[in-house]
Amino acid sequence: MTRIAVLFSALVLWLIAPAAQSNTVASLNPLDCENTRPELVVQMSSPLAAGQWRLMLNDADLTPLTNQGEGFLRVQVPEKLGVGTYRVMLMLAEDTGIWRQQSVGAFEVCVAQSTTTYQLNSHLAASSELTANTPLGQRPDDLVTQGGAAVRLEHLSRGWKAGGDANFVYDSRNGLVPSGREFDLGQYRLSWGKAEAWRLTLGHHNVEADGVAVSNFHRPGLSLGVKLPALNSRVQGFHQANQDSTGWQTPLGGKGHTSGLIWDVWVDPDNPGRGQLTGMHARSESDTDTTDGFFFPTPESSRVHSLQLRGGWQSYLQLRAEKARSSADFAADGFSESRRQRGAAEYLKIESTPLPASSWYWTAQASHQEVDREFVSPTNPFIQANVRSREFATHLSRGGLSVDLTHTRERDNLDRSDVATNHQQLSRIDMGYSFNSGLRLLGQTYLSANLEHAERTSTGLFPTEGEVRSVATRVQHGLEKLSWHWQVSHINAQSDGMLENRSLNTELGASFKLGSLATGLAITRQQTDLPGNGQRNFFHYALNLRAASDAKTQFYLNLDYNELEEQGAFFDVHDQRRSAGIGLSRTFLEGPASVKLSLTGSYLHQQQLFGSEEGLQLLLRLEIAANHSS
Amino acid sequence: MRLRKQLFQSCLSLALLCSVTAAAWGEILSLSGTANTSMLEPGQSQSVVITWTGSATGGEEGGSPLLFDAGEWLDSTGALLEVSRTRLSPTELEIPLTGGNTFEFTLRDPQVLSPELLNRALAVGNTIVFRRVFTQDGDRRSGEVVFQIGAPPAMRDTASLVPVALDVRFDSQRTVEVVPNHAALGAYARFHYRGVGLTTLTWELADPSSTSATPLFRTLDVERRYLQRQAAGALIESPLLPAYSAGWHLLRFSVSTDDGAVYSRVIRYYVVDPVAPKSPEGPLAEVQLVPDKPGQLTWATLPDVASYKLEIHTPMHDLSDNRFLKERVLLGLDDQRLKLLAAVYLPANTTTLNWTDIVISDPAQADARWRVLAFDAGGDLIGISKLQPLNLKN
Repeated sequence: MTRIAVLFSALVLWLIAPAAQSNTVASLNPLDCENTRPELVVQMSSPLAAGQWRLMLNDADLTPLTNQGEGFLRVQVPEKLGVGTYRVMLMLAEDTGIWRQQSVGAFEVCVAQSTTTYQLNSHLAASSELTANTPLGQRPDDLVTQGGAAVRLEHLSRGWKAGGDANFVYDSRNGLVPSGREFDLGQYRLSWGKAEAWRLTLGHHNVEADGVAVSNFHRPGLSLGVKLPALNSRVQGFHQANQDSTGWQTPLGGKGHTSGLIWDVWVDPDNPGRGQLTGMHARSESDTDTTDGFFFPTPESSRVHSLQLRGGWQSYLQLRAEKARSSADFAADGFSESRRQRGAAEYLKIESTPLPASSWYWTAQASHQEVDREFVSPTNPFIQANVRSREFATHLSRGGLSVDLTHTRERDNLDRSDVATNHQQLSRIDMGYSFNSGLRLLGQTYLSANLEHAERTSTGLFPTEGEVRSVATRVQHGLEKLSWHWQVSHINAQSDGMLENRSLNTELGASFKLGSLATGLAITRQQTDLPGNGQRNFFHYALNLRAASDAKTQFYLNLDYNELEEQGAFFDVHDQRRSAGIGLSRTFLEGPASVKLSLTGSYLHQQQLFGSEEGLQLLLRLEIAANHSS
Repeated sequence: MRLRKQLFQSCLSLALLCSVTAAAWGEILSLSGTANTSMLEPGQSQSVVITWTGSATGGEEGGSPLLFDAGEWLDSTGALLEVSRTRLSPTELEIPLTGGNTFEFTLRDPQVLSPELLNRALAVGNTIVFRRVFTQDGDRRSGEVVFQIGAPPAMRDTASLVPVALDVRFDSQRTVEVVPNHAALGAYARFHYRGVGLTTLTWELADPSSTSATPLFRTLDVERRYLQRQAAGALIESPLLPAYSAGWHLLRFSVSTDDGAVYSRVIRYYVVDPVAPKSPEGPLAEVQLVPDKPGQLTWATLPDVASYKLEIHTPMHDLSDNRFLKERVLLGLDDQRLKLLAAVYLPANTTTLNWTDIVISDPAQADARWRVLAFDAGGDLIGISKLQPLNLKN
C-alpha cells in the first residue's frame, strides 16, 4: 500500500511537470466540420529543415503533398474524409537521428447533408433431404427451413449519427437457434449521438474501459457517454445485464443487472496518451445462481470502485496504474450462512514505446498485479483472485530477427504461515527469424524457437518442489499459393526431483491452392508419459479439400481421424473417431432467388471406452434460397 | 450458641436447596467424537462416519431428550463453510429419569463431503472441522472432530487443473454471428484456472451438412499446452473459421486435462449463402513489385487522377503468429483480416515508391499486403488495386 501510494505521487508529479518540449511549436488552423476535404495549415514557431519533418494525418503521411512556406505548412486533404475525428501530428528528426512525434491538433468531420447507408446480408433456404442408409442419431426432418440475416444501418446528419447492427436467426429444427425458438433475434447494438459529444448505446456492447475492475464485460444493456470539453473529461453511465443472452424475449438480458459510472479526465483530450485519470464505480444485483464460472458462488450483490491512472513520459514511457476495492454479499443458501466479503486489487504497468523510424525495434515492460482472495468484481468476471504477480518482458527485433524475453513471478496472495502458499517463477524466451530463401519451393521462411522454464514451490503441511521445462521449434514456409509448417515441442514436468509427466508433440501441416482446388492438411501426434500412471498417445490427421470450378459448382471433402491410446494405471483406453464429409453442389439459378441441388455425405465411426457409435448419412438436398446482399 | 445453631441450619437448608435444585436439571457430563478416518482426499466426494460418545444425567422431574443442533463444517479459521443436513442415528435420545445417575450414550453421525466444500476449506488451510452442539436440559456442549485434507491439487504437478471460468466468443465478442460468405471470422477462448497441468486445447467444427441431422464435429486445431500462469489465465485463438458453406456452423472449444476431465463451450454462426464474388480486377490492377527490386512498388497511371494513396496492411494472422492457419480459404479472395500499418499520399506523377520510404508504426511485422487507391480532383475514389503480398524484411 505504501509503495503504491508513493508511486502514485511520483506519477502525478511526472504528469504535471512540464514535459520537455521540442524547440518547434506547431498549431493547426480552425476547421469547419462540414468540410470533408479541409485545407490544413500548420503554423510553425521555427523553420523546418528539408527532409527533417513529416506531416501525418492519423496513420497516413501527407508530406509528399505538403507545401512548406515561411513559418507554415499547407496541404489540401486529397480524399473525402468520413465522419469522425482526425489527429494531425508532426514528426521531427533530431540530431541523434531519432524521430519525435508531436501532436499538432485534431479536427472533426461531420456531414452537411443527411446520408443513410445500409447493408443487408440475408439468406433463407428451404430444403428437403432424402436419407439413404443408416442415419446417425437424430433423423433429419423431411422439410428443413433455415435462414439468417445480418443488418447494418447508419444515418448521418450534420454531426448526428444513428446506427446499429443486428443478426437474426431461423431454423425449423429445435435446438440450433441459441434461444431454443425457431426464429429469433440474435445479438444487436444500436447507437445514437452527436459526433464525439455524446452517444447512447443500446444492446450488446462494452463500455469504453479496461482494467482490473472492468474487463471483457460485453453484455446487453444501455450506456450513455457524454464528453465535457470544459473539464477535459468524459462521463459514461451504464446499466447492463449480468449474463450474456440472445433473443428478443430478453433484449436487455435476464434477471440481475450491473450499473455503474465511469469518469475519464484527460490532461490533453487531443493527446490521450499524455495523461488520463479514470474513476469507476459499479454495483450489481443478482437473484439467480447462474454464473459464467464452474465453481463461482454468485454474490447476491456486489460493488466495486477503482481509480486508474494512465500517462506517458517524454513519449518514451507509458504507464498504467490502478487500485480497486470490492465488496460482495453472499446470501445464506442452506449450506452456508450469509456473509460479506471485502477485497482489494492493484495493478501497475510501465512500458516503453518503440523509437520511431529506427532500425532497432525495442520495447520493454514491467507489471505488478496483486488481487486479494476476497476480490470480486461484477464487471470483470474473469479476474483471478488470490494471486500476486510480477512480470518483466522485453522485445527486440531488427531485420528478420525478433527476440522476446519474459520473466514472471507469481504466488498466492494469502500470506499466512499456517496456510500452504504456492510460489512460481517462469522464464520464457521466444526467438524468430524470417527471411526469403529465394527458393521457389520455400518462399518466405520463418523459423521460431520457444524455451520455457518454470520452478514452483509449495509451503505448508506437504511442501513440494516442481519444475517444468518446455522447448518448441517451428519451421514455416509461405508462398502465395502454398504454405506448410512443421513443429516439434517437448514438455518435461518434475516434482520433488521425480518425473511427473513428459510430453512430445509433433505437427505437420500444409495448405495449397492448385487452380481452384484449395487444400489443408494437418497431422498431429502427441505422446505423454505419466510415470506411475501409464502413457497417453494421441494422433490426429485431417485433410480438407475444396474446389470450385466456377461460382456455381462447388465440391468439398473433409477427412478427420482422431485416435487416443492410453495405458493407464488401472485400465487401457483406445478411443477412435473417424469422420468424413463430402459434398457436391450445383447452383442452377443465381440472383435474388436461387435453386441449388447438393449431395452431401457424412460418415462417423466413434469408439470409446464406454460405447461406440457408427453411422452413415447420405443426404440429397434440394434447396431453394432467397439471397440478398448489398 | 443458639445463633450458631440457627446459622448452621440455614446453611444446611441452603445446601440442600442447591443440591435439590441441581438434581432437578440434567447435564452433559462428557462428550467426545471420533471418525472412521482422519484424512480426506481433495477433489472428490467422500463420506465419513463420526461416532459421538458421552454421558449425561437427567433431571429428577422426568426424562428429557438429548437434543442435537445441526452439524456445521468449519474451515481452519473457524469460519462456517456449510451446515450439514445429515441426521444423527438415532435422531433423538431420551435420557431416562435417573435421579442423578449417569447415562452413557453412543451416536452415529454419517456425513458426506462434496469436492466444492473441500476446495473452499483448502483455500484457507489444510484442515476442516465438523462441529455439532448437544443440549441436555439447558446444558449445551459442542463436540468437534478435525480432519486433515491431503495435498491440494495446486500443490501437485500431476494434479488436474481446477477450472474457474471458460468463455468462448467470436472476435466481435458476440456468441452468435451471421456472416456473409467468405467473411474472415475468428474466435477466441478465455480460460481461467487454479493449479497447473498439461492440457489439450481443441477447436472443433460441425459443418452445415452435419448439423442437418446430428452434429458431427471435426477437428480444426489441437494444441498441447502446459498451463501454469494463473494471473493472466489462458487466451486461445481459433484458426480462421470456414465460411464457404451456407447454413449453421457449431464451433466447440474444449479443454481436456490428463485426468480425463473435459470442459467445453459451443457457440454458433450462420453463413449467408454464397454470392458470386466480386471480381478483383479493376482499375490499378497492374500494381506489382519490380522483379529485381523486391522493395520497390510500382503501379499504372490512370486518367483524371489527382493523387494516389498507397496503403500497407498486415494480416492479423501472419506467418510470425503461432496460430497457424490450417484451413485457409484461398479462392481468389484476399485475407480480409487486415490491419492498416501505414499509408502515404502521393502526387499524380508518382507511380513508383520504395516501401522503406514509408513511416511504419510497427516495423516488427514481416508479412504484409499493399495496394494503391486513386482519387480525382474532387477527392472521390476512382480506382483501387488488388491487395498484393509484400515482404517487409527484404
